[in-house]
Order: sequence, then C-alpha cells, then structure tokens
Amino acid sequence: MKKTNKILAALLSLTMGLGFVGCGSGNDASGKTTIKVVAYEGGYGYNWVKESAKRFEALNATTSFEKGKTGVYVDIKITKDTDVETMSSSAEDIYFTNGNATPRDYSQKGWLVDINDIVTEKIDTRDGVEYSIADKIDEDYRVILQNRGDGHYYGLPYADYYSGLTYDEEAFTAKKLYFAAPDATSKAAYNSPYGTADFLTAENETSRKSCGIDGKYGTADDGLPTSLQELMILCAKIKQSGYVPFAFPGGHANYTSLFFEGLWASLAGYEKIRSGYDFTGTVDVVEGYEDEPLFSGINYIRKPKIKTETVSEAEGYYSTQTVERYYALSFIQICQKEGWFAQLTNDTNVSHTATMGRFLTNGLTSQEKVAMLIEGSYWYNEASDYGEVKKYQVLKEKQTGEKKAERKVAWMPLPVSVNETVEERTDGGRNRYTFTQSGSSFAFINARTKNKGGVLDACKAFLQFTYTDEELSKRVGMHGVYCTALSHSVAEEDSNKLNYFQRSVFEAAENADLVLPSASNETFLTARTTLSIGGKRYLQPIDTDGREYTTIISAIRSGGLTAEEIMNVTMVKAADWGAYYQG
Amino acid sequence: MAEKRNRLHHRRDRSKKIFFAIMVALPLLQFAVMYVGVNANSFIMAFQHYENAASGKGFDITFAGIDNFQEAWTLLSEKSYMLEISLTGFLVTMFISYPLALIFSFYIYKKYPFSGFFKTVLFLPQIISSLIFSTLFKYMVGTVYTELTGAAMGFLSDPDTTFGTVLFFNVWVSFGINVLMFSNAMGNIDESVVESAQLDGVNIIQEFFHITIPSAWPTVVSCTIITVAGIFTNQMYLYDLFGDGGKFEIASIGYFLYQKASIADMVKTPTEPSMGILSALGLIFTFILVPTSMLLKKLLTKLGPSVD
Repeated sequence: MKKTNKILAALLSLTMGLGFVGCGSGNDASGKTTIKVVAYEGGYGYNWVKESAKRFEALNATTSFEKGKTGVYVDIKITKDTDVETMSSSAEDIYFTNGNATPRDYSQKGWLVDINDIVTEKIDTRDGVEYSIADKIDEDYRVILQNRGDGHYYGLPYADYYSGLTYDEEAFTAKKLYFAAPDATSKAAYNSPYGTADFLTAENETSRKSCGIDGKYGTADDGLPTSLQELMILCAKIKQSGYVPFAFPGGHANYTSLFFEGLWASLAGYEKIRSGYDFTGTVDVVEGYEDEPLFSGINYIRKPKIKTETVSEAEGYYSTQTVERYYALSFIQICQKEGWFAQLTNDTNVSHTATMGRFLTNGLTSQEKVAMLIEGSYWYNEASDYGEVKKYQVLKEKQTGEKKAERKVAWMPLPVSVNETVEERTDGGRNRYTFTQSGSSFAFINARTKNKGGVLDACKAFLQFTYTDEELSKRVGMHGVYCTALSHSVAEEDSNKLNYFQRSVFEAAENADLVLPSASNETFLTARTTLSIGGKRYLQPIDTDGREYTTIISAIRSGGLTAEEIMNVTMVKAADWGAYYQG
Repeated sequence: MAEKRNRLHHRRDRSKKIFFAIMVALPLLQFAVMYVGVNANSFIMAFQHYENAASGKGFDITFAGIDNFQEAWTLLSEKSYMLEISLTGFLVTMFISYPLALIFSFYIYKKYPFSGFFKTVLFLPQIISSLIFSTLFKYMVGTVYTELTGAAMGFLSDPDTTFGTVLFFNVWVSFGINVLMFSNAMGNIDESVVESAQLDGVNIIQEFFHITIPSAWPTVVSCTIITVAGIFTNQMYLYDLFGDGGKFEIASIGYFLYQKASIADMVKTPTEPSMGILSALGLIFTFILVPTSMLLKKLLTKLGPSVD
C-alpha cells in the first residue's frame, strides 16, 4: 500500500513538474523585456506581426527598457478570439483586434493606455517632410481613435476592407461577358427580359470594351456594367453561359450585406453617403411609390417617388430614407427572385473559405460555376491561408499542366446609376468610384501594462514601429491588405509581391473616394455601429409583426419581405429620431 | 497518557478542520463570486442608469427607478414571437419528448429485445459535445440531404422547414438523457409490487400507467420543474445550429438573451439594450418563474398519480 502511495505521489509530482516545464520559456526571452501581443487570426492576415516582431527584436537587441534587462522579446498569440472584453483582467499588452468597438469607447471604460506621444511623434520622412502616425490617419477617422474627454489618441486603425464584388476575369473573357464600346465592330446584341445590350465578341483594333464607370477607355473597369440595368442584363447573359451570377457563403448569409453596402455607396456617391455621417448637404429620399415598375422585365419592384431634403443633425433621419438604399435593396430582392444566387448560398454548411474555393476552381470541378463572388477585398489572402489557392493550383496543374497558375479574378467597381450608361469623358479625366470601409478594427495597449514599468515603453516602441511607413509597406506586401484609414506609400519590392487580384483592388482603390465610418458629431459617434451604412439599422430588418431577421437575405428568403417593406421598417422616422439625436 | 492522547486527538481534529476548510474554501469562494456576486451585481444593475462621463473616462451612474424594468417589458412585448417560440419548445418537450422518453424507458426497463443495445446507443450521444452532434446533424439535413435528393435547400435552410427541424433536433438530442433518467427511476421500482400486480392480472399498459408512471413520478416532476424554470433561458440549440449570426426569426427568448448580453454595453444605444435593461429582464423572468415553479411542483405532487 505504502509503495503504491509512493508511486502515485511520484507520478503526481512528475505531472506537476511537467506542467511547470510547460510554463517555462521555450524561447529566447530570458534576460529580456517581454511584451505580450494578441493578434486576430483572420482574413486580413497575421503573419506580418511575427515578421515585424523579429525586426523589432533585432533593432532593439541592445536596448534596455527595464532595469537589469537588455533586449526585447515579443510574445505573440494569434487567435480567433482576441477577447478584448476581458482586457481589464488580462496580462496581454498589445491588441491587434477584430471588432467594431472603437478606442474612443474602450478609453471611456479606462481599458486603454494613452498613446498620444507615439502617435504624434514625427517618425517618417517623405520628400523631406516629417510625418507622424497621426498625419497618416484620415482626418475624419481620427475622432474615433481619441478619448472624448482629453482628445488624446488611445488606439490606431488596424485592418479593414472594401465591400463588394470580385468577378472571374477568365470566365468573362471566355464567355464574352464584356459590354462593347458603341463604336466596336465585333459585337453582338443580347436581348434579355431586362433590356438589350451589345457584348464584345472579339477584342481588336476596331473593337474595344465599353469605357466602364470611370468613363475612360483602357482602364481596368472597361466592359463592366455601369448601371443596375446593365448588371441585370449581364446576369441574364451569365446564366445563359452556364454560370450562376453570384455566390456568398451559405454559412454566413450576413455576407450579402457586403454587396448591399458596396452597391448603396456606389449608387449614392461619396457626398451623399457622407451626408448621412456628417448630417450636412442634401439627399434624395423615398416618399412613396409609383404604380409603374422601376426596371423593365421586373414587375415586383416599384419606381419610388423621390423628394430632395436637406439633412441636418436634428433631421438626420432623412439619410436613412435615401432612394439609393432602396435601389440596392431592390437589387438584392431581384437577385433572389430571378435565381441569381448560387445553390451553395442555401447550404448553411458552406463556409466562406469553401465558397472562395468554389469560385477559384470554376470549371475545374463538376460543381456550379460562379461568375461573381460577394466578399470583402481581403478575401484572396484568406483563401491562400486556408489552402484554397493551393487547391486551385493543384487542380489546374492536373488538368492543364500549368504550374503555380495565377488565377485571374479581379475587383469590380459597382454600378453608379439605375439605368443610365456611363459615357466616355471628353476631358480625358476619370470618374471616381465610391468605396466604403467595412470591418474597422483597431490596435491599442492594455491599461494594465501601465503597472509593468519599462514594459509599457517597450510596448509603445513596438506599436509605433509597426506603423512606420516601411513596416506598413511590408504588411501590404505580405498580405495584400491595406489599412484604408491610413495613407502611406508601398515600396516597389512590396507591391511586386501582390497577386493579380490584389493589384486589381489597389488599382481600383487609387481611383476611389473612400467613405470611412466616422464623423465629428456626437449623434453619429454615439450610434456609429447603427448609422454607418454597414450598421445594424440597415442590416437587421424587423417586419411588421416585430419579427427580427439577422440579414437582409433572411428577411427576403424566410420572411418573404420585399425591398419596400425592408426599406420601410429599417428607415428612421422623424418621430423616432429623438433616440439618436444628441443635439 | 490520557492527556497526551487527548492532545493528539485534538491536533488531529484541528488538522481535519484545516483540511476541510482548505478543501471547501475554493468552491465557496467561487460560489460567492460567480453566483452570489454576479446575481447581486445583476440585481443592482437593474436599478442603475449609465451615461458616458463627459470627462471621457468612466460613467455617470444614477438611480434608474423602474425605468429599466419598463424598457425590459417593452422589449419583451416587442419580441412576443420569441416568447411563443420558447413556449412551443416547452410544450414539445413536455408533450413529445417526455412521453416518448417514458415509453422507451419502459421498454428498456422491461428488458425487451435489444434493450441493452438501445440503452448504449441512446446514451452514447450524451458523451459527445452537442456542438459536434449539431454539426453532424447540419450535414445530414443539409449537404447530405440535398446531394441525395437534389433538393434545392436543406431542412435548416428552407424557411418552411427550419423551425420544425430545430424542434426535431431538440427532441432528438435530449432523448437519450431523458431515457437514461426515466429508466433509472423505473429501475428502482420494487419488483414485489410489479409481481403482485401481475398476479392480480394487470396487463402491460395497466402496469405502465398504474405502477411505472406513479413510481417514476418524482423524476417526472423534477424534469418538469427544470423545464419550466428553463423556459426563458433555453436556447433550443440555436447557437449550436446557427452560431452567432443565427436566425433571429426563430429565436427563443434564451437565444435572444444570449445574443444581446454578448454585445450589450453599460450604456444603452438606439438599437441595443444596456446591461441594466437585460438585468431587469432577468429579474422579471425570475418574478414569473419562481412562483410558477413552486406552484407547479405543489400541484404536480398533489395531483399526480400515486402508486397506492
């Protein structure tokens, strides 16, 4: 018995000991200042943190942040759940998060360190002019990074994306899905229930694609639809070609909002979307409906009666009643009714990465082929991380012998009008696109780090280091994802690393006016996650019986709601504006 | 000598007490923080109103009176369909899950053919995480079903079948544990009572209704009380099946509360209730459920079948 007890005790001690061994540092942290970093494991990419940390460690190998310690060790945790809500009891120092709650909100709770010193310090030089991180941040965006009391910076923009569509350029070329220029000789008229349009049958000296939204020939948007009507004709032609127009992951029906947001912004334009944030200017609001259809061939979408109203903070509700939002909602309803969403969008088991894989492997498998993918602009990086790009390359090599094939898919600027085709600009200039920032996320330092002495200095130094022009450029080169609220150049060696799709995003973004979900008025700031165009107000419609739907598509599919009904229940009426107005 | 023995005894007694104190300290502390503390905090918050302090740090907290309760009641009235869904879930448990489980438990208790096999098969899923179970279920009624039949949508995607499928999953996933509880209760029935009844000529149906059910009645009562107490917290496996971005159109009150509590903040926003309002909602549920559960227990015990 005694012997058994001894063996048991020895085993227990060994187990405990092993546990402690696990706690010990299996890294080169000894004698160095350790800073603990949490980074979100998502589509934006996360490996840049590790690379950046290595460079920072090397740079500070002889720096002493704490008495008796030399050098820095960055202890990084990559996780799907950055768990910011437990920050006030956590030992983590720096967070690179995924979430909409702003440094303005978190600093109110006292969870963050004031980083005003490192944000306003000049750290970069461009053409002889010195820049601080604050100088790189979009002016409209600064306020949500600052505390409402002292106006100091408590966080930085981390990662975000544009909402919209990616189209399969290879399929568009093979199936002749580009609109023809009016003077093209090689074109064929296509009659659809929604109208007729000329599609290019061959691209040569006398035949070119239409000028696209920017109104200039020879740019990336040539041949793409410029109005909703053209997009509808295109969808009909896509179906005829054996493809299904759109896909979004069945397991994430909320992704339809990415299409909705992108479409709304594009149709409304920069000024009108901003008027919903700044509460200035005029907007066209829906005040009723005509008894005639909005589109030919579609008898279930009525033409709206439009009235122009001036928006102010006291009458901000007008910005929730805009006609462009109705158009965007109508288009989603049309997509559902006309069968333009892929079969996989009905399967709740289909993940976002599986949907990316289906899109990438169009024609290489027996599964339905998808012409356009509804996703955020970061998606290709995520598809690479999850092996979907590799899968495509393996399949492609098996079937064609081509090794490491680069998939030609590209970002699509969305239509800017209901039925007016954009014509060539005579002044040689380009019309600008309107993009909207979705999925804002932030980086900040935990307030508890203040109690760690020199560790706080190391944290501030590391955070500042990751926002130097050089590091931001390397981040872009590694993941192809740009933080839209920051302006910085990308070095040639980094931009050369971008793939075909990522280059298409950057090229489009260079010609786009970006609407960032921020404003300096208290009404918008208080209800930012509700009133921004990707906000809850517009994406969680409630029907007349009080039944709540999580997404627009579920309201249409499950609730049988129409665009008119969704519009009506999600707009803020004058009588209800009091809940929002902070004047 | 006696004094030495006494001292030794005393020391042992003290050691035992110290050991006991050490052993219960942690659970007691956990109970104090996680139950007493959390509930007390929730009670206090139900009467508090939070506003962001103008200084930019912290909150201005004021006494809210019954404001949070009024807002909670309005919220509940607006979501009356969720109440219907919760009650439907409750009724399905009471009138489909439990009767089915009772009949099957009786089959196992009577050791009819393959009863041992069924018992094992039914219990096995209970040791598997419900998330794994729900993932398998989703594939069966989704991808597998559409691949095999060529149907356009799976049962969980088709709006006409979504809620029915959720209810079926609830019955299915809880079936094993219910059978286990009822068959264990039936296993304690005195064999002599059954033998005596059989000698008196009772058939199997009479035995089920006049001996088995009355004998297992205390377990049935306990299960009923637990089910009633859980009406407002039962998520009906909606999180397992649909995750965070779940289907609000078929949300139960429990699922709704979970979703809202996970995103709620101290300060109310135009679209989201504050922690204070959710705390008040929790208290309203307590006010409804405590007397209901007690009354029900009394009624079921008094009016329920007796083996006599």
